Amino acid sequence: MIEAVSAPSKTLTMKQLLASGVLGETKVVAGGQGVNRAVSDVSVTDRCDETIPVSADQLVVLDGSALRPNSYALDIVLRAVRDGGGAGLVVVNAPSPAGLATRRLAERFETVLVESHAPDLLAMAAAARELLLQPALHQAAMMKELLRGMARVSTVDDTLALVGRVLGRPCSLVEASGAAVAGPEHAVNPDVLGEHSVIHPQAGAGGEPGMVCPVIVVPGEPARFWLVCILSDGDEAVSGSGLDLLGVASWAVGAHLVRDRLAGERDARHRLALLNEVVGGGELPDETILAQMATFGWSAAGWVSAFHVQLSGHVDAAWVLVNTDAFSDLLHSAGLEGPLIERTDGWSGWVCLPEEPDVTSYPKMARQLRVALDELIASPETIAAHAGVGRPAQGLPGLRSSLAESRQAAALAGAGAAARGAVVRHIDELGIQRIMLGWYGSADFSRVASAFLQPLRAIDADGTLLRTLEVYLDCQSSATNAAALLGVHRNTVMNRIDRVASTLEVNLFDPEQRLALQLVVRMHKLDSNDHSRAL
Amino acid sequence: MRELTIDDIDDLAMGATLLGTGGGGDPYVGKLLVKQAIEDYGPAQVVTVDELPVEGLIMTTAIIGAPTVILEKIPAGTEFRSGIGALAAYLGSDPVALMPIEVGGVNTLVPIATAVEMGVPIVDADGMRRAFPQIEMTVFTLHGLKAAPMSIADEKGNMCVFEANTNQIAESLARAAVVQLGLANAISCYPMTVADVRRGGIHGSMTYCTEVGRRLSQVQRGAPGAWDELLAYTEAALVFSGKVIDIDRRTTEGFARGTVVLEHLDDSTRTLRVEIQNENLIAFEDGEAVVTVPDLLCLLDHESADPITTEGLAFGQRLDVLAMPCAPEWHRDGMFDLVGPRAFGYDIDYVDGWKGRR
Repeated sequence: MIEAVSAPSKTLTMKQLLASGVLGETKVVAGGQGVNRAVSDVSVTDRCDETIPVSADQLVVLDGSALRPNSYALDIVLRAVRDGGGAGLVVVNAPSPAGLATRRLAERFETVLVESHAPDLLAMAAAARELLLQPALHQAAMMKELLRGMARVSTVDDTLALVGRVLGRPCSLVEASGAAVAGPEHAVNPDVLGEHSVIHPQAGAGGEPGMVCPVIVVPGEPARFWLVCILSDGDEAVSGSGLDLLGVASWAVGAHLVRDRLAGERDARHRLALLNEVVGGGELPDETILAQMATFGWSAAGWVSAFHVQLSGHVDAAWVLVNTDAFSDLLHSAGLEGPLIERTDGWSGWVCLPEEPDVTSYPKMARQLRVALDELIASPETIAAHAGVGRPAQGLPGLRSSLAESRQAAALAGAGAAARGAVVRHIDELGIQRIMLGWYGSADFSRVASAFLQPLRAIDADGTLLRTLEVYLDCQSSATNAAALLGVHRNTVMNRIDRVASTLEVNLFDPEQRLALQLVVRMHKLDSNDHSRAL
Repeated sequence: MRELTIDDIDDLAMGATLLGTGGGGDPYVGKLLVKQAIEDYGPAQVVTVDELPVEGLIMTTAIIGAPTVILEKIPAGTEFRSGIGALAAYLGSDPVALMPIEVGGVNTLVPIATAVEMGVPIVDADGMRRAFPQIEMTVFTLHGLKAAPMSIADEKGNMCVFEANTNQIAESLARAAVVQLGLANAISCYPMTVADVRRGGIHGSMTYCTEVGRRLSQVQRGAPGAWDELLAYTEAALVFSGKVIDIDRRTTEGFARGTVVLEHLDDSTRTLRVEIQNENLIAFEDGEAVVTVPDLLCLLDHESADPITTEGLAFGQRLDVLAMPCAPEWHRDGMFDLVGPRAFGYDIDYVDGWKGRR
């Protein structure tokens, strides 16, 4: 009889319970409008007073064998059932049918009144309780399977697979944009990523119902990841217990994420420390450095070409850490194979070649790096990158010099970089620009430039005037060309330039003042990019 | 002392019907007995206990039996004096006055007729000021006054006088005798001194009964303000007005039990269940007791304001349900054990939430 219920994970209604047959030979005598009420538990009583304990959604089974005909006592029990939020009253083995007053009361209370005849009242109640406990037992079994499985899995992907297996529905880890970072790819509307809840079909992306549960990686911080389980239509059965399971799984996923992040940060710190040794030199003998490099799988054998990537915009060290593997894969796809070391503002890396590369191959490496970077920062659009590539040189000293050149090239690339997108420069193509490195590296000049531009910044909160000045100077003082680049009218450009000249009290027709101003603007841009380095 | 004339009898009988709370026997036969007695022997002399000698013996008389039998088996009229005579002979003393045990139902009037016949005054007091089905259910019991020795007599000259240790045993013995003597007999019990009645009786109950009857008569005549006056005098409340949609009568364990279901006249989803054991005992609405014994639960015809006895209940009747407080003398230790809901087998507490309503 118990097997007759098709949805064991869903709370039963009075109607289903009656249909199951566990209550014996039954007859609904009144209050039939309450048959769709959920039933959570069964209690048995032979007392007929208002103090019988009745909890919400509980079905009260009353031993009616001692009832007098048309007894007022049934009214009192009905009232107790109604007041306690009970699901209904089953009177078992009553010697006579319920009287009109009782039936009318059941109708008034909308409480199901059932008369039943069963040879063994306690056995009947036990069978009913067993049936009602099926959802809880099912959930407990799923929880047990989940907890046992969680002890055996050690990665986010394995945890998601485990949850999916227990729930019988795929489960993914998505980030705030709705994109899956682990598990099967689902189109998830970012708007539904909020509290631990069931998403109703109208709220879910693509009309799919589902369950979401935020994954708290650091207590107190807002959630950045969510567990998402897509349900099928008519799948409410799983949602009650599934939501609890998802909640438990979120702790495990959160723990895995924290562990991965800590391990990544630790490794990154070690790699960065060794990189500093490589760049700095002198502290440790080269043999020791080479030995340590070998433990990381790094090599400086043959001809080494280094590159340096600086990011700007909405990035931080965590972003760099999280995206290192992805960037490494992109470099690999672009044909650049070698170590990649996280820095606070980007990455450093190099490739080793057995033979000295031809000069004609320099642009190729810059292009490969740009391809990888373009793809990396394609999303989100708020990030910009500029990178430099050093000349190939031999061995550890060669790596050291190539790394230094790559940083210089990156700095010069940053000076001329756009607000977004990737700019990559090879040190070899910079030519005469290299004489500017001294200027760009000077803290004194930086301070002078900043103080000089202060009056302009005071009236130029959104940077429009500064940007116009930069483009105007880059366009050899051509207002027409600058207007075309900025997408404004030529007169607007002239007007802005006049305001800049009067604010800064410079004469742009004087070549020396114009050169100095251009240097100041470049310096300011570098400083702005450097600001992101402090993150 | 005051005289009770034929003109007073109708109001007294009306009041007795109301105080009978559906039971107590129809006072109609009693009314005829009293009227005949007054015509034959002159008006009844009604006295208070203060007008009687302290050591004087006060005796009672009443009809005992099953209400349904009493309705059909009209008293011969001789059994009451026989019973009193037998008990007086047993006690070796004649009464200075008679007294009703219950002012409510037929037994309000029977002692008056007997007193008129015997030429003794009738005391304006009783032990219930309503009707109860059992002998021990009196305020005398609460005061420790004994129902025995007592006598039972029938119209054929059969009688017995017996003693009992408790009033509950007295009830059992009397009930056993009545079963053998035709279920409608005369009983004389609670023989007491005037001092005992002063201490343990409900005083002025006949006057109260007459006043209630007079006010109810005015209601029936449609006198302006009579309904409010009745409620005010009796401190009663109208708890329900409904139509009888179900009557279930059963005779079990020596009681005429029954359940009446009323559907509210204005709200058909509301129903009132009135539980009957000879008298109307308890009213339930929504599975909750709203009026319980020992307070009075009276059913009046919605149109005519006639008190309806349990025998007179019929499907379709439109009734007003009136709750009236019991006599204040009842409120003593032991009241609930003696006449509370549990004394009648109802596992509920006494409620008085209706008091103060109109």
